[in-house]
Parts: sequence; structure tokens; C-alpha cells
Amino acid sequence: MKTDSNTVIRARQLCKTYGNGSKPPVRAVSGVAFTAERGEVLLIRGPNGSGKTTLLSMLGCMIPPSRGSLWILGENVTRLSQRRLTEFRMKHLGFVFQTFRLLDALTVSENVELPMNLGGMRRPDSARKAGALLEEFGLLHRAGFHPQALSGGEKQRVAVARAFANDPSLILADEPTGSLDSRAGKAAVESLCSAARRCRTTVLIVSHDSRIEAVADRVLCMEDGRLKGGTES
Amino acid sequence: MVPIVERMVWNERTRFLITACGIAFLVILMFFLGEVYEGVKAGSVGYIRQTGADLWICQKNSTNLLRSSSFLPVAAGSAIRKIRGVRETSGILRVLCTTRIGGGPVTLFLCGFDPDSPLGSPLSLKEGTPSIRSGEIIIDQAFAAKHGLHAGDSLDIQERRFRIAGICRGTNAVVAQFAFTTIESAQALLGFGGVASFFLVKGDGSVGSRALLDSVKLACPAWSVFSKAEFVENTLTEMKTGVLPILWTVAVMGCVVGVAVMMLMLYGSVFEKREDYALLKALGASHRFLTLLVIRKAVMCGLLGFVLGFLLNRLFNPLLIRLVPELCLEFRWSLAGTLLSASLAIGVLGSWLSIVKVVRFSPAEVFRA
Repeated sequence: MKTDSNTVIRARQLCKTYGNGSKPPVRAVSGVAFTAERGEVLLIRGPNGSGKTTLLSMLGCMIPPSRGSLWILGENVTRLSQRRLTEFRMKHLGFVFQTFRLLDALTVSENVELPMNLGGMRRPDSARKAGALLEEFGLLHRAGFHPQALSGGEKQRVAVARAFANDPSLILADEPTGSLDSRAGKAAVESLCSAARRCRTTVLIVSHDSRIEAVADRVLCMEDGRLKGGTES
Repeated sequence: MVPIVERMVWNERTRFLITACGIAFLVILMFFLGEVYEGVKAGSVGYIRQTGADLWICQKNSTNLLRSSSFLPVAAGSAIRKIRGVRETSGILRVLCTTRIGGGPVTLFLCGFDPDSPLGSPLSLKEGTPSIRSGEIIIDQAFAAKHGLHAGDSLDIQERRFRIAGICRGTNAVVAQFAFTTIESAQALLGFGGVASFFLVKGDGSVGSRALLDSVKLACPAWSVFSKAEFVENTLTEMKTGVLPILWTVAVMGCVVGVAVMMLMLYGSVFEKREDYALLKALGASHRFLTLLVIRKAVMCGLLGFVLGFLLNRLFNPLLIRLVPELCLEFRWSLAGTLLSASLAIGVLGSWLSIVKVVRFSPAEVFRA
């Protein structure tokens, strides 16, 4: 299948069924199809258990779909080996999580540097780039701190800075405001979206939070594993 | 690369330190076993090395100083002395005897020698002189320290009183210590006159050591003749046969415990931090990176355990010897090298289960709220 050079995600009939034989299979995602363009901010809303996180895991190349095809940046990721998927994730994807997922053992700066180092960038260069990112997100003064010393909003902004570390084409954000108060949540999402627009990075946000709709270019709703309002490709 | 291993270790320093202490105690145990082994080795053959003899002659089928009986007629010494290339020969009589100190029996490895001969006397003396007379004895320093004996004191052996004329070194075989008296006194304790266990032979240098050995063997076909090196080796082999299986068993059991301790720590750590490992996978860490991360943690723990164990060993050994004087601990750098390798190997082996676990974590676990 050919994909437009502007198309970052093209999902066709994505399905994910869980089950190990002893229990009846559970269909978490069923026939999901949509596309996302470069620089687009896409919000997927839906109640708990609607399959949002499973969809995000598939888009994040972490679990394979049971059926359907998924093209990210023109690459059919359903056909890649585990090793290639890991490399693909490192080079092209960034993540923001509900509970921040910063490594407590590392400083703020080191947390941002980590994806760069995993990608092969050497220490002085990664430290310089992490400094620039932290400055962009207003956290340079916290660079030497450990995450435990940061507020929730600051932690999420560090996570956002980390997501941009390897200049990804796609950032997947799972409930980025879920652990924050409204002000901090708004600030975190706004900083994520404005940076993404500046870098022409596609952002796919999964959230309950209706306030995020204001910053999203497009909203898709998910219910019972199916997408409503998706663009069929 | 950010120092992720060091930071993770620092973050879990209590767990890490407890494990390192476990490894340290294992290293101390191994050092103790190894040093006792080296000590017994040195003490068992110390006397053979100290005597100036080139050859040892004993009864046929007798091979070593420690665990073989040998009886030869003292009178044969004059015939041996006439063999070409022999300058000096002297008989020694080895007797296992019992003394009572503090109400309890104590075993002594008594060697009777001829004080007028340059062969057979203990050469490394801390106190006194090897020129002893009948009724006098030289005892090992560990034996003296353990029982609070000094030169000039008396010691009753099998209802005969001996005056301690000297204290010697390097003759502590741990299970028993060597003591030295005149051959006549030893014969009296044994109850037989005119008998020796071994003849020590010194060459005059006119023939090579091999030729001397061959000519003595030719002249004494009814007896066993060994070079000093062979006799040392035979005695060591005899000692090893008794000691090594026990030491190996304890060492292997210790290593298994070490691996189990390491495995427990790493597995607990990996399980507790599984979301961190899932995050690393999500960020693009390869299996190789994660495997090396776990191994590096384990190796750091093993290394710290070794260093702690080594330092404690060096610190407490002098104290231990003061508390238990009959202990003969011989430090060897080769032993330290072996234990360092063992500590690192314990780390690597102990990380196996955790590596299997980490590799199986799904990066999608990172989405768990």
C-alpha cells in the first residue's frame, strides 16, 4: 500500500483480541481505521474500557494487532521484527504517560537525555540538547533535580521534553492530564501541542478530558473497541 | 550514556548493600578456607623444606611424612654414607604422641633427630637453639601460643618430662603441630631403640642430584628413595586427598548460596521496578542493553562484595590468629584473584533469572495507570 508522504498513521481494520484459550477471547479493538497527517493533533476520547490504551499500545508498536494493517511513516509496522520495532520506536516515536513515567534514579536532565543515548547520541551532545529542551519547556532551573522534587505539572513537562528528545514524527500521549490539576494539565497539553506544531510532529492524545478538545485539530470517539468518526482509508 | 546503572544502584542502595554484604561474607568464608588450605600446605611440608636434605629414604611403599609408617634400622646410616656422592646422612624418627595440657589430650607430631647432624633439625627458630640434649624439646610457635608455653617450661609427654629448649616456626599442620626432640628421646617414647622412620641424605656436590638419586636407589633397592621435591609433592598429595574434597564441598555450597542471594536481590529489584524496565523498552532500549544493565548491576554488587570481603579478611585475620593460634592462614594473591573471578561469576550467574524476566516484560506495561 502506498501512503502519502504527509500521512503519519494509516490504520486499516485494526483488531486486537486477548485470550489464552482457557478463557473466552476478549475483543479490545475492533475494525479501527483512521489516518493522521503530519503536524496534526488528534484526540481520541472514550470511556474506560473502550480500547483506547490497547489502540495506543498498537500504535506505539508495543503489541501486534490480531488483524488489520498499520502503517506508520510509510512503514508497515505489523511486518517488522521485534528488534526492528524497538529501533522504530526509538527513532520515530515519543511517549507521554498519565503517570509521567520518569525514572526516579535519574535527574530531570538525564531523563530527557536517556532516549537520545539509547539512540546512540553521546553524552556531551545529549546533555546540550536536553538543556535546550528543558529551557524550551521552562524547566532548565530544575535540570539537576530528581523527579521526586518536582510538582506533577513539572513532571509532565519533563515527560513532554523527553518525548521530543529524538525529534520524533509521532508522539503518543496517554491521558496526559489524568494525574494533574486543571491548570497544570492545561499547561502541559498546551506546551505539548505548541511544540508539536512548531516541529510539525503529529500528536495522538488519548484522554477523557474534554478540555483537550480545544487544542486538538480533530477528535475521534472510541466506544466498545470501535472508532466513531474515524476516516476510513 | 547517562550513568543509569550507577543511579539505579544508588537508588536501591540498601538492598544493594545487604546483598553485597552477603557476598562479602561468602568471600570471607572462601578466603578463610583458601588460607587454611594454603596454611596446611605450607605447615605440612615446612619441615621437609627446612631440612637441608637432598633425598629422603623410607621403608618400601611409604611415600610421605604425614600418613605412612616407615621403620628403618639406624645402623644402616653408615652404609648410606658410603654411597658415592653422599656427604651426610641422618636418621629421623617420627612419632605421633600425646601430651596432656589443661587436663585434655593434645596430639603432637614429634620428630626425633640427631642434634650433632646438620640434617633433621628445624632451621627456623623463633627462640632457643637446635642443639638440644636428651629430654629437651622444640615446639611449634602455634602450639606454644595456644597452650601458653615458653622456652624453659616443661612438658609431659607420655609420662616423660621434657624441657622446652626452643620455639620453631613454619611447622604448624593445623590438625597437629610438629615438635622436635633427640632421636634417642623419640625412640624411648616409641619403646624401640635403633629405629628411624626416614634417612635424610645430603649430597657432596660431586654428582648431580639425579645421579645421586639413582645411585642411592641402586644401593638401597629394598627402600623407597625420593628427591626432596618428590617427597614434598607426595606429602602435599596426601594432605590434599584428605582436605580438598571437604574444602571443595564447602566452597561449592557457598557459591550456590551466593548465586541464590544475588538472584533473589536482582529478581526482587527487577520485579519491583518492572515499570521502569517497561519504560526503557518503550523508549527503545534493546534486549542487549537491558541484559547488560542487569549484568552490570550484578557485577557491581559482586565487585563490592569482594572488596568488602577482602578488606574484612585483611583486617580481621591478625585478630583471628591471635584468638586461635593453631590457625595457620597463608594469604596468596592468586587466591584473591580466584575469589574476585568467583564473585563476578556469581554476579553473572545470579542475574540470569532477572534477565529472562526483563526480556519478557512487555513495553505496553508502561501504560498501566
